[in-house]
Amino acid sequence: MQNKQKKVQSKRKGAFLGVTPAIIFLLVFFAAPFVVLLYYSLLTIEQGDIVSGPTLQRYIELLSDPFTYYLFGRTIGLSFLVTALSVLLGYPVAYLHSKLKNPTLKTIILAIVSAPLLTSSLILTFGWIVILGKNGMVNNLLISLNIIDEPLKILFTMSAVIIGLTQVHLPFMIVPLVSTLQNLPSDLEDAAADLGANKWQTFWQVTLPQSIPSITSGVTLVFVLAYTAFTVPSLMGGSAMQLVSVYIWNTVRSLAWDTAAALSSILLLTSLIIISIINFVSRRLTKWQHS
Amino acid sequence: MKKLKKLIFVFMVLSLVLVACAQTAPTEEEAAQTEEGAATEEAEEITLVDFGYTGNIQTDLFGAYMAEPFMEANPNVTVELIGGVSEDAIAQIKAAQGKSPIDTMLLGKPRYLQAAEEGWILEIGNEDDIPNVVDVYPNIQEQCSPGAVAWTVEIIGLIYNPDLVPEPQSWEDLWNPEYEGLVGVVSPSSNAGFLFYSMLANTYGSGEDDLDALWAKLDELEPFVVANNPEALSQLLENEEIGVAINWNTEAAVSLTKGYNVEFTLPAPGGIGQVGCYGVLKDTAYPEVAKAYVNTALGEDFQTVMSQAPFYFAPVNKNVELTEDAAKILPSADQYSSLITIDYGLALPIREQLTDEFIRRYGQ
Repeated sequence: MQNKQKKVQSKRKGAFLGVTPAIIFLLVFFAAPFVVLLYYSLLTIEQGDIVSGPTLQRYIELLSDPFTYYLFGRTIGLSFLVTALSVLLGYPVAYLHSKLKNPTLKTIILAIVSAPLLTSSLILTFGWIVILGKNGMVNNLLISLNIIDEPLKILFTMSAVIIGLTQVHLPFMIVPLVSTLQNLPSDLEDAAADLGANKWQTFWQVTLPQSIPSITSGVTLVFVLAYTAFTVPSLMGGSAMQLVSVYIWNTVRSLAWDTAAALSSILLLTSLIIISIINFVSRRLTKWQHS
Repeated sequence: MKKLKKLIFVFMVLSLVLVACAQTAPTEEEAAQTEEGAATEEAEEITLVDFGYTGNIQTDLFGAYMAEPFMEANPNVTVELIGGVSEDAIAQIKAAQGKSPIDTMLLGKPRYLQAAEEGWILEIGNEDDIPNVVDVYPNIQEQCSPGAVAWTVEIIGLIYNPDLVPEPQSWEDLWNPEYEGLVGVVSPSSNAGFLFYSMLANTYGSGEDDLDALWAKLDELEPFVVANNPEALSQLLENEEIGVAINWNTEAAVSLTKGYNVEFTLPAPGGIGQVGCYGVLKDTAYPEVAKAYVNTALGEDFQTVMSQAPFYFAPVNKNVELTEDAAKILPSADQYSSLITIDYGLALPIREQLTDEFIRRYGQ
């Protein structure tokens, strides 16, 4: 009995030692800098110099400023819109992929879906700038089809930011869905069909509930990435785009580090809260579907 | 549970160490080491970090005509050129708390004033430190004295596409209907934007700090496009997203060199001028090498090259004569006095407020 306990303890020790480098890495390069960020948010900094602190003054100022709520509300709204578009555009692709029998076609779809991950979002964004510009492909096509007379102003609008963010983050929705739908036992759908369910009922009552966990993963990933995105909004929306990340960037450039640190902390906190809500809703949905 | 407690303990210790590091000022010992380093810098292998422009200007001008000749003349010195926006460099300098990662730095006038006031540059604006300063126009050098040396005059004017808009004769023309929706500006967090908005506040209000007058005038200019930085604004003009850009003359030179259909003009009553200063960081380990390096920027050779195609930086060395091409973009020595200058005493204290309110008002 004692030998067994010793073995278990030894295994645990080995496992602990195995994860130690990762834990130390996270502590040094993520958690500890975050503590510094929190610390800076509690100081009064003028032109990059620490003047006084600690104080909650920055948080009080931000939380009593209606613009802060507008800024975060707008960013959250935009992120949910991008996430919803990613689900609507990504699910059919993943579903189609799971239904295809031809492995070459499957590989081609997966390659197209994963392609944006092989390059930086900066390059993708520059591509969109060319496509959506006044002399870009979209405007040229619409003009040549006599749909419009004058080029549309797409760049430097919220629409451009939504298009860019959705395209850049779409793979993060599709890849987890592909993985789940691919491995979904076909017996379940066959059983539903045998019991008289039509294709829509089978999808709604069998396939969709089974894929809720991977939808949750995709939604969480896309939401967080869209919520904190900077490159796409700043390049496709301009530096005056009223989104949290762009506003933080402008604040840092004004050397108001305390405000920037406080905003960053609020961004992280709200991220965590929204992710928790998404997970909670997902669990309830799964339970409801099972019942 | 014990292990968790240990982990939390390690995390707390690490955090405290990081927080402490973030605030640690250089010790006397470190300061002494810096002094000692300066004394022996002639013999040792040295890497000098120069902060300035990015892209072609960095490699083709500062790299080819300043850093490389300097390294050939001083084989123990390696010059590392890094570029970006000055705000980021200042953030690095301040975050380093006395261990500056940068040795020499190009400073726009607002940043020079900040550096001089906060004391993070050496006072080098004299003949003993920088011998070539004697060839610089005195009225220009005095704007970077005593902390730094003037190496160019940066000029903000209007770059426009003649196929899209007529040539603007004055700043006021931008409010005419033919420019509506075609004007591009830079965010006030960038110097080009900051100087333009300061000029507007002064021209149409009681001074550079009259933000109400500025907002009233900008409201009339809407809609306009706001770019991140001067380079991004140039790209918008090149892609014909806008017809006219309020931007540096050097950006016009870059677009012209690339063959874009743009022209540059200094609208009435004049372009906005800002002296470009070159500074040596106070915390540099190699002050003498840094001064010698900055001295080459004021030399006739470098000043001649930088004033010509494709760079077109306004020279400050009075021995340099402008070529015919350069004279179209750069003001002559006599014209320097007609440039609009900004009262930084009024403008700088409200810069943060200006940037913040600008985003709130004109952000999308």
